[in-house]
Amino acid sequence: MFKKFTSVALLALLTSLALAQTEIEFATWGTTEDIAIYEDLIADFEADHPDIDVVLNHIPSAGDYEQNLATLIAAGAAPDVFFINNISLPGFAAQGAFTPLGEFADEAFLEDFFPGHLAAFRYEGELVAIPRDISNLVLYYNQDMFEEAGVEPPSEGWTWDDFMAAAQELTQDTDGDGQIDQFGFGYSTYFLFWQPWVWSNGGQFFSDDHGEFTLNQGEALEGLQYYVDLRCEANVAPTTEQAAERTAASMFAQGDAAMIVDGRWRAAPLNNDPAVDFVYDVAPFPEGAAGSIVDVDGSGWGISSSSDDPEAAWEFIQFVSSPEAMARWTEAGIIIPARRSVGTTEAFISPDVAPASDEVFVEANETAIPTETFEGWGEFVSLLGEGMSEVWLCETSVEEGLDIVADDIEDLLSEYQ
Amino acid sequence: MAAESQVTIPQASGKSMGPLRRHGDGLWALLFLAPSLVGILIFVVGPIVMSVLISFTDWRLASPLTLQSLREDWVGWENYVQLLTWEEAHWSPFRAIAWRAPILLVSLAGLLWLMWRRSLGVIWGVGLLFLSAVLFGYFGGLIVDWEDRRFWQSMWNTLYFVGLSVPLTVAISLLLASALNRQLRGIAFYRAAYFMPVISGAVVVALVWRWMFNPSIGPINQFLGLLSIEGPGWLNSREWAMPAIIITDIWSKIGFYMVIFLAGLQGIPHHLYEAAELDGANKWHKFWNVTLPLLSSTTFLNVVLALIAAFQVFTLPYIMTEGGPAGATRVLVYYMYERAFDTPFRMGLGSAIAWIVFVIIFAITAVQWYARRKWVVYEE
Repeated sequence: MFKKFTSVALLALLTSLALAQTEIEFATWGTTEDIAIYEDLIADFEADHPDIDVVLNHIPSAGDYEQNLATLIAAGAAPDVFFINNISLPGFAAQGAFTPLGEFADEAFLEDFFPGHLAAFRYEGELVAIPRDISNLVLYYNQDMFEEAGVEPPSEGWTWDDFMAAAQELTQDTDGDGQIDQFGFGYSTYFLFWQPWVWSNGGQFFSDDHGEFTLNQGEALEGLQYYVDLRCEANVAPTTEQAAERTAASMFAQGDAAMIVDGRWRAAPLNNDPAVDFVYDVAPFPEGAAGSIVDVDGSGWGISSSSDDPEAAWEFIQFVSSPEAMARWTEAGIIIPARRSVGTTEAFISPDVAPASDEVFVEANETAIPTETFEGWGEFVSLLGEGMSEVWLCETSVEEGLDIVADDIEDLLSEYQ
Repeated sequence: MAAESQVTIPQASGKSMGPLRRHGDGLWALLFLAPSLVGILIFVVGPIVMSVLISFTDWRLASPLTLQSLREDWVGWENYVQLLTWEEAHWSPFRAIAWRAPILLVSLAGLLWLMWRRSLGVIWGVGLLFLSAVLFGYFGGLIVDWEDRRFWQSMWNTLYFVGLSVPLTVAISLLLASALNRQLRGIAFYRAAYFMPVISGAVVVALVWRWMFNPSIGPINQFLGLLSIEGPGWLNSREWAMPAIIITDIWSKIGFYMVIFLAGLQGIPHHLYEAAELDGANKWHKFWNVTLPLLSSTTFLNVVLALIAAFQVFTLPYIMTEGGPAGATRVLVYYMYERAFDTPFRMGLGSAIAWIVFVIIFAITAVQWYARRKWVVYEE
């Protein structure tokens, strides 16, 4: 028995030496659909590259992903290739977690990507990850609801005033019980969804060099207060109490909100939800004083600085970032592709599948900017949450709320200058 | 019983082993203990030593941890200095008394009465903690502009939590144990019912109670509405979020302490009650003069356990409020988590917070250990 075991082990050892297999570990988060595509791609890749084995490390929860990844790196067990979004990228890049991609990705390779979007994957000038997808935001609206109320649907050039007027028309007490049960706008308090209100009003979270906190002053403050007032003053969006634990997306899907600001990922669940019995479409985010500026964030693949075989890792990244691979996620409705060439194909713009105006997602990239992330972003978000928590409850103004944490945020910025 | 076994064991081992063999016992014991000792060294002692070292560095989670990286990131006492020092301090007049003050004062009065009645050392300790929380947190006083505002905010929040949850948990579980310490048909059902939350997962408890406390759809406010009371915003309210978490914590813990109290109660000899009755003692007299003193070693154990657990509260605020609103439920361990696990993953600072929490728990437990002699009664 023991002899048999040793001979098998020896055989295995010999064959593995003979084939000189390289093993690369790849870590990502993702839904079941997402991972199914990865599994297919990995099988294809391994067939193309018999000398490379790819081990998929799927960390299911996006919320814990960064902590898991950071722990793996700390333990000296960093995956060779890992998926990361541009918002948490600086926190990792500052610790030297990446192999710079300058020597791998030449200009011809990068030509197909949006330069503004690539910028979000650079750290101190060096490209450290190849983007897969672009997440930006548009205005989803319920066409049936607009028609019923006799309101002109949103179009290009729609301003905040037009938005407000329509939202007021669409906010209704439909059953006459004195309680509003249809809102013009579904509300979200997560920063990703309200950054456009700050930027489109001409404001910024920080000064360009991240030296100063500017969200609590001038246009930025005004824009954010406008967003808060949608809920707290005009009440065209539900308060925390009125929303009663429902998200903006679920209210939209149930026909309780006529408009929401959301990303591409919302389309697939809406199309698959049998309860969605209305026609919807998308329009650009309404124009504020400075235009229509939404976030363009995304996720991409980077190579760990401690990878034993960056060449093999790069082979893998090239494979999964190829137009063919990207088309698969695009067809599945999971992403807006980071490659321009894929964004203009049938895979993305399919006339038969809602929303009808898919091009809005691509056009939004003309003016969109990435989240103003920096090394201490995680802590910033927790401080921001502390300052805004009572603002979202309509108990205080944005200015007073942010006052509580402004000093801490300034300290945080000076720490990472 | 105890005396008997103490006598028999040495006799037995003396017979079976000669003096020479006994000399080698230590080595043999070590050998047999080795598997678990190695485990303890690797999984307990190792991390403890590492976390001391890390607390003196600015090491961040997204870089490999090696002895060399520790040396490169060494910052000495900097993390501790950041947490414990202040930029400026001044005296401020009393702040407006929060709504909590009356409740706190009533419980404080209760505590003082207990002290006067029995001069229980532990209650002194808890009472002092409590008093300082009341003084600093609610009436103002010395206003300190701490270097690290959030650390001290979480310190006071933790003291507030400990100050209310520990005495209430111990008191309620004692009352429950006394009520359920009788031979009734179906008593096991009640005991099991109160013990249920203990075996439920903390996350499940937190999620269920988050729904219970929901101001518009939660049953608590709907029930209050039936009584024509407009319920507070609970977890959405700076004032009510911590009480809501304390209520949940007490609900989920009393079963555990109740079981320990039940064991203690059943160890009290019945003849003492009979003797007290002969002396004309009523129920209260018996409770105060027989039950409480003879239960004091159990009470001591429960208070120590409850205090340690309360200082380490994390899951409930993490799931129910994420430390909010406006940081009102940010407790020490939650703050440690934020600093260590939010980008940029400041593990050094997080470890320093962990060690400060350890020192506080250690100091309080040490004080209790010495105070124990004053109030814990051991049956002769």
